Amino acid sequence: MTFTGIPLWATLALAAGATAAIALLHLLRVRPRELRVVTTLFWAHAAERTRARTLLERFRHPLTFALLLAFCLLLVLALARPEWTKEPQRRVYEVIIVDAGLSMGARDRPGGEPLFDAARAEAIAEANRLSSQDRLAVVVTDPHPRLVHRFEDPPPMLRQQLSGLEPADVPAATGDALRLAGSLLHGRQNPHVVLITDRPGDQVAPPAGARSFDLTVVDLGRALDNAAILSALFEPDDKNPLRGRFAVRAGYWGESPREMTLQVARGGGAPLLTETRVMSPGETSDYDVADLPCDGDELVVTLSPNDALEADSRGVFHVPLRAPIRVGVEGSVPEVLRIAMEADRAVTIAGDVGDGDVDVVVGRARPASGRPAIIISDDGPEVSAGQPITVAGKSPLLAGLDLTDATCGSGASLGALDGDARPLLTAGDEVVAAISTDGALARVYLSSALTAADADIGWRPAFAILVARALRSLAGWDDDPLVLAPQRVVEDPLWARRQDHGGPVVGMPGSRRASDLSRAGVTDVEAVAPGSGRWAGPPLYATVLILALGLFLLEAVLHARGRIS
Amino acid sequence: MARLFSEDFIRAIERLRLVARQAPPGGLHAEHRSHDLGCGMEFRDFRAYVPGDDVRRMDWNLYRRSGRLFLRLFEAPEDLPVHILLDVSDSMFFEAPPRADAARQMAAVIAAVALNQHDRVGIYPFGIDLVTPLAPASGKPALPRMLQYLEQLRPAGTTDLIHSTRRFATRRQRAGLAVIISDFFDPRGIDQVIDALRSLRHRLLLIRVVRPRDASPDLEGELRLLDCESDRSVDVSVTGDSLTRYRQAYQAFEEALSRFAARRRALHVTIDADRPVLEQLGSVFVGGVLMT
Repeated sequence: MTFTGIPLWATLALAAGATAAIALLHLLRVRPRELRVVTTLFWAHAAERTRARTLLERFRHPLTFALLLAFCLLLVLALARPEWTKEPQRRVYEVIIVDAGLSMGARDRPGGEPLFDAARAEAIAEANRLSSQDRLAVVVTDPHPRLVHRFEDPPPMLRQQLSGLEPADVPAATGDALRLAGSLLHGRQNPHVVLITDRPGDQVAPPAGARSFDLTVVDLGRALDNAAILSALFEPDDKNPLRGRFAVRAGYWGESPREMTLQVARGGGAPLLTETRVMSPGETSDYDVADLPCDGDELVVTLSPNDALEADSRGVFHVPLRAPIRVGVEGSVPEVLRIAMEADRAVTIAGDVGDGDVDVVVGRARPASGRPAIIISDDGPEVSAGQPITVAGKSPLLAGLDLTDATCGSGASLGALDGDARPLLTAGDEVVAAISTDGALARVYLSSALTAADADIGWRPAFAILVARALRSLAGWDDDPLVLAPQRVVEDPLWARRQDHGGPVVGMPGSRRASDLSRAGVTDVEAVAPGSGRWAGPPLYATVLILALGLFLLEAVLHARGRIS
Repeated sequence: MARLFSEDFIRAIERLRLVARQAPPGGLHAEHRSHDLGCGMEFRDFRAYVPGDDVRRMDWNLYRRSGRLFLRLFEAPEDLPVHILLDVSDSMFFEAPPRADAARQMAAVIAAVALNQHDRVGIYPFGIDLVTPLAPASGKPALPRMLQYLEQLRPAGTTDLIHSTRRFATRRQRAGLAVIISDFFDPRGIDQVIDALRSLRHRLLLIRVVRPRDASPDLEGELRLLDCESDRSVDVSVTGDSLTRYRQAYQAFEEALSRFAARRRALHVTIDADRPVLEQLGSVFVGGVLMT
């Protein structure tokens, strides 16, 4: 323990002085004269409310002496502002790798907790075992390694950071995770890696090239022999969007290869597909039913033989009742915008301008096709990179979007708007996004400063949601977009809500960020990441101070209640 | 018996009388009025003759005038059992002169008066328990033995009036007059004392032995008061406020005892332990008579 407020010698001197003063007061306390009387019967009543009126009188009670002495000593200690001594030589840098691959989603019974929950609990328990001086980072492989907790993050954040994660649909890249851990621990003291997985320890080894560290494998034990329907996807046909392909992905994990049969049938009707394959442990397999009409019909998917885990062996899905939004593009669409559009699986990029329902036009103010369009414009004055973006108007497109600290990249603004166009977003005085509803011809204008590769906003989920909403609005859809990870997507955007399969965290393809759409106004977990000033427990001196005040209060209460008189 | 009971003291108490409002039935012939109408000397009433009555008690003069047979009824005086419960706890022997002196002299007075009237007198000293009592006796010759018994009494621990009265009740004494001579300073409080007294099936005479400083103690400063019986300590700052509260508590104690005495139609007298008992008999025996 070190003292940052006053030096140790001064602390000891103060403590000695306080002790001497309190002891002196105790020695000088009023000592009552003893007197034998015929009875104390009436004096007991008389003394009932005879309380000490001064602090000196209180010292006649030894408990007061003890409490006030402890109070003074703790006060001196708090003034010295003690801190637990950091011992850099003994500090451990540890990386916990949480396997979030396919097999970690296994459940041992319907409605039971998946293995990943046990892994999450084990990670938190391992973090709690570390001392306060140790540093911890957590990597989750879902399926690719991803750093969710950094060495600098406060430990209490870990639980929240792990809470929204879900296992992936494919086996985890554990080797890559170990390589990432090695790079994180490079140059650190006492490097240690804990791998929490369902794989046996002898199957896990640091890949060649990984840096040296101590590796501990926490084997959670394998799940029961299990197979599961992992996802279902309806992909519209490029030529005829009213028909499409229904793709089902099934996974298997167990001890040995096994024959699995997947059947897809219309609700109450004949099977559309019955296919049997031999699947190896950890393998996923895709099944397709081609040329299905978008008629909103019910499709029942069954995986057999039934492994007694019916929760994930039978699924009911609905084919969408309408065509997807087909987008025709002209010019070189910025990568940021393309990723944002592809994130919404209700959108297909059909081809050239005029081929789709909505056009995306780059660099031309007036598209010739006469369809609703997103126009990427650079007609206005230049905007410097890093300029903060602010919301300029009210629009359903902006509802609930978190644009806190969002900045634009280097590019041009929109300049002067057309007569009926309304600004959506601005950077400084310049408009960078706007919307125009000129009769039936709707337009959304995005400036090149907004879609530049160095634009911070372009990599936020809020931007993908804004683009998805814009496309749906332009296509005449009236529902709210839902951005889904590609592994979990099915064409109907409402499917995810009905199936309750995923959880609140959804990802954007190509982005390492994630958003929690269940919390209003939060679209980025990094908004609550380290350095956000979260309370992580009071410092030691505050605890000591609180304890001292508590003792003082205790003495006062005991005195008021007559326990000390 | 020289110190406590001098010849002058014994001579002084011979002229006193103890008068009971009504003696309980079943006793010996003595000087107290009773419910029994029998062969006494004092005429009380007539009643109609019924077959089997003693014809010697018929009033023939009345028969001659009225033509009907009547019997003369006479009052039969009986004795009054007197049970003296004497507090000999430690507090009674504390301070000088001890309250026990005044208490024993008062017990001697009561005993002497009762013996003079041919009443049976028993003495039951008590402290934490009943001390070996003096068996009930009657007649003047029993007085010296009683005085000697009183003289030799020693402190008997803490006051436990409840237990002592319970033990006294188990002796199944004939109902009479119970004289309790005590300071009534039972550590359990006055409510417990009253409960104990309430359980006694006798006519009660409460004689409280007091000192003036009981009501107004001359103490001051920071004191740790030790109870002379229980050694219980009380820390007190003796100030005007605490003295006021003390007096209030003492007054409440006195009033509780007086209220109880009034409800039981018992006589409640106080004796100052600092003054000679003989000087105070005038206020206790009004006109030489103590009506109980």
